[in-house]
Amino acid sequence: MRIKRGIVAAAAVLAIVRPSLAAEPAPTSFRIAAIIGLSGPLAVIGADMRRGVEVALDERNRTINGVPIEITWDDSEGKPQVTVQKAASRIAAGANMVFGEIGSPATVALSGLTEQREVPLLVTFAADNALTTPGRLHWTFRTGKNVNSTVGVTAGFAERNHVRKVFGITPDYEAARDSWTLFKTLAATKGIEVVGEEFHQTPARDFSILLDKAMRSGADALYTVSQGNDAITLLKQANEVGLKEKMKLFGPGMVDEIIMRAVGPAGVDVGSTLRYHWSEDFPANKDFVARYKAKYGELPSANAGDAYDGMRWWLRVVADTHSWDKKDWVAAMTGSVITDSVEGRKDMGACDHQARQIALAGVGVEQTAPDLPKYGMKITDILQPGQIYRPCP
Amino acid sequence: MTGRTRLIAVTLLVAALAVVLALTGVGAERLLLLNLVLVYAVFAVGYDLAFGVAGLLSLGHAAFFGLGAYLLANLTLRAHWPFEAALLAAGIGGGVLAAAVGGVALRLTGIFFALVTLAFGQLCFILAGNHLRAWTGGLDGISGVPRPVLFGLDFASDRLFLLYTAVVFAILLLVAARLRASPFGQVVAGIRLNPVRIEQLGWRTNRFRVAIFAVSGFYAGIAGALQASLLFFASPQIIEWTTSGDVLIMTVLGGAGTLFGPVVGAAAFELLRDELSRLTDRWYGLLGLVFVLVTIFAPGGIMGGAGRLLRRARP
Amino acid sequence: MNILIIGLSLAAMLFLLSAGLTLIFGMGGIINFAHGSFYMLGAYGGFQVIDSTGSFWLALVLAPLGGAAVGVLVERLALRPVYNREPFVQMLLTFGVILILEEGVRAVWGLDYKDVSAPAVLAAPVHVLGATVSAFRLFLIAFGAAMAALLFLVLEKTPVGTVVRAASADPEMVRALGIDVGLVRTGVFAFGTGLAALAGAVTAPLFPVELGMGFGVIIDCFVVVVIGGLGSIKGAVAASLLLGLVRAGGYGFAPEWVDLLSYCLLIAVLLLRPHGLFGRQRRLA
Repeated sequence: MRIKRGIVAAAAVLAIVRPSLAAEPAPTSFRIAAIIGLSGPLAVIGADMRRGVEVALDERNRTINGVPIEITWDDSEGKPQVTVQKAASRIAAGANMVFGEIGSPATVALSGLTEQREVPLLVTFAADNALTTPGRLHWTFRTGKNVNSTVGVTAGFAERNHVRKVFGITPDYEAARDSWTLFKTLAATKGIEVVGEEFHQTPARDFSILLDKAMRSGADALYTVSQGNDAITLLKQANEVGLKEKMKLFGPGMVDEIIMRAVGPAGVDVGSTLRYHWSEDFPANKDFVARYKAKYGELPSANAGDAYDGMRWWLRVVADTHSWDKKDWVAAMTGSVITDSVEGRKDMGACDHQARQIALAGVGVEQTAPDLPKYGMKITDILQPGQIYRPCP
Repeated sequence: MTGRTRLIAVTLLVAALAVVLALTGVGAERLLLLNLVLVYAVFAVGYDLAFGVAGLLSLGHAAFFGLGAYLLANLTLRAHWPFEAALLAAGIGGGVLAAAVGGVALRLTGIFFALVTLAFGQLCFILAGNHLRAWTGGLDGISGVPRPVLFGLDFASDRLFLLYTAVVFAILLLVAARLRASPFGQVVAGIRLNPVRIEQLGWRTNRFRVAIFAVSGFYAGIAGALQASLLFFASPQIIEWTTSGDVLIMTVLGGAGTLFGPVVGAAAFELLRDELSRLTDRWYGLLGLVFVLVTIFAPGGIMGGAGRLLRRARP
Repeated sequence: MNILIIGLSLAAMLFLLSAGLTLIFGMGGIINFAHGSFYMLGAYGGFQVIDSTGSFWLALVLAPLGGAAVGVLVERLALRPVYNREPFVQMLLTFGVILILEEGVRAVWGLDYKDVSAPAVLAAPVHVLGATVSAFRLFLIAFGAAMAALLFLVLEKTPVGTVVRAASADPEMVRALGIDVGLVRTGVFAFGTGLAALAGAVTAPLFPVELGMGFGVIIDCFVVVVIGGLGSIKGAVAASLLLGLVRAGGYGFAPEWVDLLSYCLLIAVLLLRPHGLFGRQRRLA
């Protein structure tokens, strides 16, 4: 604590003593405009992200280089229009950076605005590859995991579980179709046969017919890209016909703590990728989990940990620049490395602004420890960044 | 002053006010909201031509709004049309689609007409989100929709764009005013009040209904296109039935069947939403409560309520 | 075999969902857009009962009562003052009610998903003629059929049903006969919202229980109600069966086109037979 305060004080002194280095004068506050879904279907995710970010701010005593951090939380309702509207309003009022949104459409829309307004955008949740297409976006950074990394993890999961024949269920939209296609390519290299595939509308009303097809296809595993509500419906209805006893069930982001709470026993043994898990064995994570528990009385969810880690990294990079010029922050973040994140080392790709990091595979479990919710997640495998990401040229 | 000149005067006043606000008074953080109010005011004024004047309760206007957004996005980004041409095409597209829907659906009346338009709107929503991906970008939508550039002036800033929307709004408000006062408008209003009599007078009532519905669709198309440009983005989410519900709520909130009611309603709706959501996480419920109370206790909407208060103040 | 059972279970769910909506429409011509919110309320209510008592069956009794009680409040406080105004005003009010109910549920139960599981007796699949089918779906089919029969009997064969039908056909005459039409209206509205809540509680083991769950189902309800003929219980039964089976078949062949086809069917029915495929005139039951 004392050391941290010392650093802050030193940074403040530096900033005062060497004003000629700062192109912009120090503002009265560092303003973060957080635009996430606090009502509507994504609110359950948004609420956890908010908690994670608050812990990251507390850790800095809510100041950066001697200037207080001021964060505003706007409800995007999960809608692109409202997201852009509120972000534009905050940017016009002098926001130094934007944090958000959750869903891919709203985040892509938001990135359009922040690029146009030249304000940094920190993305932790939305996994759409469009956000980190090399050379496309200059002001946008994703510290969370992206689609390509999650699919790589599920392919490895299939291999380790000796899956031979797989049946695929995919929501009928672009990113999900891409993800399924990528899986098929990876599966082929591992000798896994795809015996059938189905596409469904999202939100889906009923999966029973598709599940029936999957069970009669002769596949020994069901792979699904369905997320959120669709995943819950699918799991509940798979449980109803005892699908798990006959086939392995897995998919990228298929289950997490939130979904386990929604489906209970129906999610046990279901394989998934994880954004983050409270049990990850890194010193910074132990520290974070303790702080989080002290503040909120429960363990951080994947979304809370993910948001915390991204915000902590970004604020540290900004602080280290000792500058109030947004361009300096972006330059510093591009290609920056954090060695003590809650998930170990992370490298921000200079070409695509996607953080290279470890990836986690896990399964849904029933938990018996008294301080844990009845159903949760467990890590089964950790993949190193080199196994998933291509380096920037 | 005659009714018409007074109307023109008021319209110009509103437009001038917007211009003045745009150039001076408003804090930068309110500019996008004001833009949005004007865009939705265009939408609601057009909606009221069908709803208030002709008595057609449509729950599918979101489809015309969305078509306008996608037409503008595609014509500017892919076909490289000039902005104004694409904007006009968006309006015409909305009008043509409305004429087609109206032509088929207007054999029904009342609640059945409302339900057909609702079903039709949802059909478009699913088409846009799931099936016409090449044209709509699927659920991800189309980002990077441009702002206009006119006479060497780039409207990329919200302040300048407010000028643009104010001018479009003023023109369309005047057109709506003229339309309502015209013989055509009178016949349409007559059809709402007494279709049988108008039919007996020799008018083909359905043609008039379809025509006014098409005009209403034109307004929706323009509004949708402006919204896409304002937010740099078009997505299928705006086609969902709740958007049709929103514009209906705005119209009724402000006062259906009056020229300025929908404008006031659009402003009240957007401002309320913005203000309440700043104040509390529970703003959604509060908005619902306010809406229910206004609907019950102020039958003519805000305009009707204000009118009654004025009359009471002047005995 | 499986397709048939799944189709019938979909039909049962559609019927439970839309029966209340069609009853309410038949009574006062009210299009209740908040119907989906009562469905959500029922699912949360069911969760609460199961969480406190552990009994799914008790949830099926208490959740509809809760839904009906909230229905009484909505009818008395919001709808009653506007019965003399244009019919669309009532519909508009139900838009507002959606927002209020959603906020209420959020205030009470928070943002989290709720886990509702099928009762233990119905949790395991059963084997019928060589096929593995869900026991819970078999229960749903029986439950839906029983509810349909019950509703039909009450409306067609009891004095209460006669009053309800008469009050919807000619309220003035019924009032002249000394019957409190206002009470009948409140009763029917509460009954309809109670049915929506029942649908929410009984289907909760199959779907996510969350705040947005009412939005998706409302359009499904409209499809059934319109195809069956607004206000007709018999029509709702027939339309649910038609739609349930068509959907089950459709999911088998082209799942991504199922919703689109439902809407096309809805539009076609509205245009060609606005009083529904199965109703001649607008009337109750």
